[in-house]
Amino acid sequence: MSEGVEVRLREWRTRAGLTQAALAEAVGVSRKTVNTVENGVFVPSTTLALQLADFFGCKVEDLFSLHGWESNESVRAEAIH
Amino acid sequence: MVDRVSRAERFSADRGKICLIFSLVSVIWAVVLIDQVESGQIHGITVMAWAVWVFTTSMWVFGQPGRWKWTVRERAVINDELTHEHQRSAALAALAALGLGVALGCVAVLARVTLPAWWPIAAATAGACAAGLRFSWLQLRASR
Repeated sequence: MSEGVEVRLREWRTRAGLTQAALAEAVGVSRKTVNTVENGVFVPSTTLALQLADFFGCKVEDLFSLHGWESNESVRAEAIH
Repeated sequence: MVDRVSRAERFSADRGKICLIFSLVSVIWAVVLIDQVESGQIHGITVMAWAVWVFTTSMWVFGQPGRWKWTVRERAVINDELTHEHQRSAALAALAALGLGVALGCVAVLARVTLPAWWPIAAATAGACAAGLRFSWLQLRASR
């Protein structure tokens, strides 16, 4: 499901000294959700990704990034113009 | 607050197990009912028990926790986005099972084959059971 998405949530959580349950409670989801997001089984919604980033005081890109994605500048420029 | 959320967490963790049990018991009820249909001695109480059990199984999978028992925060934990994703997946499994039942029924009509009288019972149970098993498997896997 999360193919191509690199997740660094576990690193941020352990660095903050939090358990999955504590993080889940802080952002208002179940521990299962945090667990599956960390394991790359479930890709969270934009809302939850933003909430997690806000909680850690970082950018969403610090928690999640596209793996092996190459932005195509020419396609983007063509689409804009 | 922590206790309240822990209560919701416990419920969320147990939901998968409860759905698994309900799905398996609904199969047992269906077998009992089908046996009665086959023997031509249908008891109203068995039909009622089977129908209630299948409905309850579906409610455990797709139902929303009530406001009378759970707070807004608890309901947010119980029915978070992962649960919604699992419910979508369970609905697909139920539709696949029901669709297969209907498709086989259509093929039987076209081939002029008479389906057994218990066919609708089996199809409905398969739908509810597929949803319950799919949901419980996803929930239990997520709990690990």
